[in-house]
Amino acid sequence: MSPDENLNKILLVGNPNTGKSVFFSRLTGTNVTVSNYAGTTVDFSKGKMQIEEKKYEIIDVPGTYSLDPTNRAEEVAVEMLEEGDIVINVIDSTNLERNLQLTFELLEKDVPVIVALNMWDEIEHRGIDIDKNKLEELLGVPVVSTVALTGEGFKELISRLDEAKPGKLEIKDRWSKVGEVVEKVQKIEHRHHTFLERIAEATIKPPTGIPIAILVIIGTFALIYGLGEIIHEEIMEEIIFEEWYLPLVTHVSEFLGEGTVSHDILIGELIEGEIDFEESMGLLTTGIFVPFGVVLPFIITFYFGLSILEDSGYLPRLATLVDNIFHKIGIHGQGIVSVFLGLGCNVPGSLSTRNLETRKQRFIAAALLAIAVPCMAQIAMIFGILGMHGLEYILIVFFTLALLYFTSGFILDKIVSGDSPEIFLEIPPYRRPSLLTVSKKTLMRSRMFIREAIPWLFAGIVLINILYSVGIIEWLGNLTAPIVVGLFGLPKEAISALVIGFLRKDLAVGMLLGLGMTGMQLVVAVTILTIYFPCAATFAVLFKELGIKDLSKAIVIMIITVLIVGTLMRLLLL
Amino acid sequence: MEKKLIDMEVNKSGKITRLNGGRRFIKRLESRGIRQGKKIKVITKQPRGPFVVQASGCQMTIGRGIARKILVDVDFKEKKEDES
Repeated sequence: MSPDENLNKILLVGNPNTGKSVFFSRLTGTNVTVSNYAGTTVDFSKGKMQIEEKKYEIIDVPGTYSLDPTNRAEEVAVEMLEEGDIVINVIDSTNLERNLQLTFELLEKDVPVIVALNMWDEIEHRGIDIDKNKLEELLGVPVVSTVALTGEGFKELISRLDEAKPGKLEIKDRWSKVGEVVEKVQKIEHRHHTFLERIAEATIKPPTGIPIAILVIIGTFALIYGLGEIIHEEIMEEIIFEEWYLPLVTHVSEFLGEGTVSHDILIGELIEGEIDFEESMGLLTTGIFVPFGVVLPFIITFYFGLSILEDSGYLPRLATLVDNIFHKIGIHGQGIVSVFLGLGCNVPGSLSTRNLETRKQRFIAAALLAIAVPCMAQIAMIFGILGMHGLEYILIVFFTLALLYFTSGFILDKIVSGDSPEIFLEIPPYRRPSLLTVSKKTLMRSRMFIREAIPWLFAGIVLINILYSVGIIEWLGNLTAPIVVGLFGLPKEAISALVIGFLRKDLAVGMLLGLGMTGMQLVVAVTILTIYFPCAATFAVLFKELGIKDLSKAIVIMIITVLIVGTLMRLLLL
Repeated sequence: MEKKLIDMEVNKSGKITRLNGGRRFIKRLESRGIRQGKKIKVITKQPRGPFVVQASGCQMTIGRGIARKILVDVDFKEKKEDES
């Protein structure tokens, strides 16, 4: 950044789990994704802050343990250090010793540093006492105590930004220096095990940890499904759409008149003389109903559940418990985090594969995500169209996909060359999730869904109307009939859903209605829809993360998989 | 007596005497507080899976291969106030 613009870059640098992201949102006033999991910020966030006349750009650097990077996310952190004007080193005060190692690495660089002892409110009940004046004296740079969640200490931090200065230390033995400093500034009083520590133990020891994990997963998904259904049916469908919105669009429909071009685009087709939100395929009918009426309720409940799991610190424990299984598919326990994020949306899911160490691991994790992990938008629609046939139909889909995830992974592990390093993951202490942060995250992620989904949905609806009217769908249907009809046992019109699936999978699932398929045919169709190709947004991210060569390989794998799985399912189920 | 971490029992602790590995491996462990001279405690072992250990006041999950490369002096008697 050119100096005449007076825009100073402030970097937030620190270990994972130090509350950097909350720190960032506190400084910039924006809502950003934060979590109690090592490495959820893999891409950096930027924001602006103004203090009196001076404008600053704030950059939230991905958490790193060292300036000597060991994975992609850490590499990003080190690259960014080059361009910072000031570094705020965010430290977890409850873990001074480990955090100071990075501090000393920073102090050896020629960049002004100010240290923020974050989570200051947590040290007292842990029996820790830190002499921050002494620490400031020993480090030679400003040290302030902060609580990012409440904003405590931020005034002082901001007023002392000018005092930040480079350490320019040359330390021969960094580790013993850290030890020396910690010895001088920190006193720990021995405390009895707290309640949370007891829970922490129970959730990670296998005899109790595994049953708890199963309960947590089932409980979380039951909650997501149950609550989502209530919001979807009782609030969205019955009240908002049927009572309030339907009369409105019916007026529009009557005003435009059936058969006109504008009616076709805005309202779509009338089913037995009436608007059908699921099947009409107009922008104002299906185009609004799918994202708001069906998908949004589940997006909200899903991200609420996920945010609690993240912020409580449970995910790293789950990663530890499942490590053994994930090791067999060439990844390690951390792979489950990509799966969880991917169940929300494949885009952040794919991005999170950066936390894995090698190309092989990232490739397997990303490919499996694209093949076997449906996003919440698609899942919500699957609930919608299969729910009326019975819960067992939904379970068949998920069972098939889970089986596919592990079988494909097992095979990929054997054929993809490269290393699969072992898990090495920090287990942060449990923290009670703050309702405010969890709600903020849920809101932000739901907003992101709406912003991302609506343009694609509208494009999809317009496209399908065009493709139908010029006869391309019919032509494609005949062309692909040997596969769709011959192998998969589906009606050839199902190809229209597969075409739209390139844009939005939720809309594609909706298009399967009205083709007169049986429950089992729908099961086959939605499974195929998940496997065959990622949606456009995920495709773009995979292109960026994997590169053209690996992405092409992944696509070949998807096509082979969909042919095999589709045929097998037909033989077994239809 | 020097033991590999992988051969240690749950709830036992010792002092790290050596990290057997390349420069990168050692740096990676050191940056997270696992280094020579530090006390390390085995919190749990997953059956045929990773170890959960505590060192430098922080819990970590480490794979068995890593646990094999950490050598620990198990006779080391800690001073009471060293408890972390």
